[in-house]
Amino acid sequence: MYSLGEVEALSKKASKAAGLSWGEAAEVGRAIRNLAKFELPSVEAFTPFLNDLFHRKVHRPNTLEELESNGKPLVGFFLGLNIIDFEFFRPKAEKVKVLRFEKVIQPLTLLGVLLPIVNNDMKLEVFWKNFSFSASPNGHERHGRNHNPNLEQSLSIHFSICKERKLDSFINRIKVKRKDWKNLEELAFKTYVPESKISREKGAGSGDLIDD
Amino acid sequence: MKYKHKIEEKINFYRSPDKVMKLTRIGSFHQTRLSFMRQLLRRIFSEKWNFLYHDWSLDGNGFGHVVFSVETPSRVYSLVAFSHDLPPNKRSDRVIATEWDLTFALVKGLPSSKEIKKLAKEVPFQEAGRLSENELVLGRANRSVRLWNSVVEKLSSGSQPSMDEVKDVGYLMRTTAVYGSGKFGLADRSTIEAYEEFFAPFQVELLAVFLLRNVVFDLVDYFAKIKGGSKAVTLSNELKKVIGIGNSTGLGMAPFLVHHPELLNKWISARECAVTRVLELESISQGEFDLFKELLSRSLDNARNWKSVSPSQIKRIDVLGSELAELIKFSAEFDFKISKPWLTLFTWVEKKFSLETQELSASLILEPYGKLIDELGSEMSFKSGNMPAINGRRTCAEIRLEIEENFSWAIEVDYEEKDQSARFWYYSQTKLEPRLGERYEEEGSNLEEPLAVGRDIKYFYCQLLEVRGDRLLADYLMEYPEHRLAAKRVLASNSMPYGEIRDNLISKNMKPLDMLRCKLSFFGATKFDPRSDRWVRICMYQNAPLAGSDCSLYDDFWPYPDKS
Repeated sequence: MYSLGEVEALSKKASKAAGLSWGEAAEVGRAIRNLAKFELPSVEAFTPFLNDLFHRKVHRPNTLEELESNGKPLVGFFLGLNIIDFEFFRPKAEKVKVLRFEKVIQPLTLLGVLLPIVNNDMKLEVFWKNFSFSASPNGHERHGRNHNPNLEQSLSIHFSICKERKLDSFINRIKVKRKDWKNLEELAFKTYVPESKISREKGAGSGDLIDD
Repeated sequence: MKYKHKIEEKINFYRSPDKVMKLTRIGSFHQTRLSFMRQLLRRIFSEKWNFLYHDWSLDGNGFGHVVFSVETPSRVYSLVAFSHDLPPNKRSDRVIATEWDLTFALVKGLPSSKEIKKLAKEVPFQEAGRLSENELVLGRANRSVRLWNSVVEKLSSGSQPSMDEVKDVGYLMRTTAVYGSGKFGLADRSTIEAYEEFFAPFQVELLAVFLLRNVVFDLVDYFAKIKGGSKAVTLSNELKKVIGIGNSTGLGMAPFLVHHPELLNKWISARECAVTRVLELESISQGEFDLFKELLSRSLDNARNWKSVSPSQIKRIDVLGSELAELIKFSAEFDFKISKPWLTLFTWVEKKFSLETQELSASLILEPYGKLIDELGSEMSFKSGNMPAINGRRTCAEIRLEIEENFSWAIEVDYEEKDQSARFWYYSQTKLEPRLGERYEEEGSNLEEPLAVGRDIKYFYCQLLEVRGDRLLADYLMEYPEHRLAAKRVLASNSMPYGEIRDNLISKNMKPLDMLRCKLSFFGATKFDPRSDRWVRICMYQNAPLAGSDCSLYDDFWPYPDKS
């Protein structure tokens, strides 16, 4: 079992090594933490995305027009980032809406990025084939078995206002498959700097360590 | 004077972020009554927490384990400490050490013997062990060999060590790491942040250290008893009081302040709000001014007892001593009955004295005003998961303006100059810890950690100048994702005025020590003794009351011991 803090920290470094910027990598860390909190597949949801990214198999859109253009499948994580960037600070009444997308790759990565909106007294519902998930300040639930597809043909997102607030309970630790954890560690390792003569002498600061 | 604190919308901070958030100033901070150790001890003694040993399983050589527990009004926590036989050649404070004199964990509740057995298989191995959600803190400590041996020797022969000898070192053991917040499988901060006793930051880690202090006293008595048998005496309470827990802190702590602008803002704005509230007092009482003068005088004693091996720190302490003496004279003749007396006095200090004295004075003027400022302590935490999001509907032109307004300190630097970008922060493959490298002398800057905030914001700004002003940030960040982190910091800067260290963190002249001292001062540490520009020895809880001592006698001014 891993603490969510550990998972977030390692995922962030792994995401950087996979090719994301530090800012995006931090979003991956938080998204994984959020998915885990809501008892959804978390590390395993992001593992294919990070591996695809590392092997340059992910198409990242450069503009909104490109993101919205038909044809190419949408990458869940980038789509999620764009939605949250637009929606998080929108006035509540304007947030209420339904968004529909076709062909979304790794849709759980999108959901992970969107989850913080729940903290803003909003209810978030996401549907795709054989899966639904809803979360609000009152609680969360999921239905269906298709919880971590690689490509979903049709996906819809509902934002609505949640007026009541009760205490939802979250999990604080998760099991991560050994191979997924190893994958994160191996990626994260690529962001570490090997020791050199100078770093041995100066990196942590010189000085007599034991003198009393 | 336009910055506002959440707790009191009408207040205008006396000291702006531009003034406060410089490395040299935050590197001169002293503990205050808002420091986390002070907050913890006020709670412990006002709520009358109970302390009790539940297990003392040490062998005839002093090795084994002990369980020291504390009962708060709502919960029980236990420090499970393992005493080890450490060969002298293995005693090291470095992160590469694999054995220590003492290892410990703070756990929820009272551990069963089965749990202790489980902990015995993990805690002594520290980073190489795995902890569970029931464990809150993991740490280790090494003896101060000189003082430990001397104290054991004296006690075993039936006498007490001298006060001077004890004060000179200030601790019998020093921690070399104290981990919390989910590290190595420990419980996440989010699992305990709803516990009232841990509302303030770092309370759980500092509780572990406070418990450790008592365990160390009992251990030294035990070792003396082993050596001296019936001749041995126990360490006197008078001496125990002046002994704290030492600590060696290195670069690992420095990036925290950069990675957590929301917390840095909370800590410093609470402190600055407190300073402002006191400076704005129209009038003050004789008792309040007398208390200030008393603690000022004791601070001079503290300065005289503040030992350091660092030439620059020695010089600073000397200057502090002479300036405090001058301030004592000034205060003796100062007419405190004038309007806004603290403002007059503090303005004088600001004009005349070094940063070290200015910041100690800022701490001292807060001391008489617990009722006015202690409530700010509860404002110093940040609920995990509440990180600010990006407002992607802002335009690039608006972001440019915000950078010009809040980050002039960053964009005025020429980072193309080698001295301004001489360093880079990285994560060491060998030590798995943050380190500081020389950009133009070492390999690895391509793997730089995102701590060069000023430079990154300048690059973001320069890039923004190249795009249409009406372009939306969300759209811009799709094309330029490398600026996402900088964009987030810029957007947060309006609501977190004290969230950024307003200095170049990769310049040749930057001293990481300043960041360490800032953080440690908020913990409540004293006796800063820099060993290089990258690590520092400190003391925690020196002069604090002992765990389990009479709550009615609690002296909230314990960091300023009365000479008498």
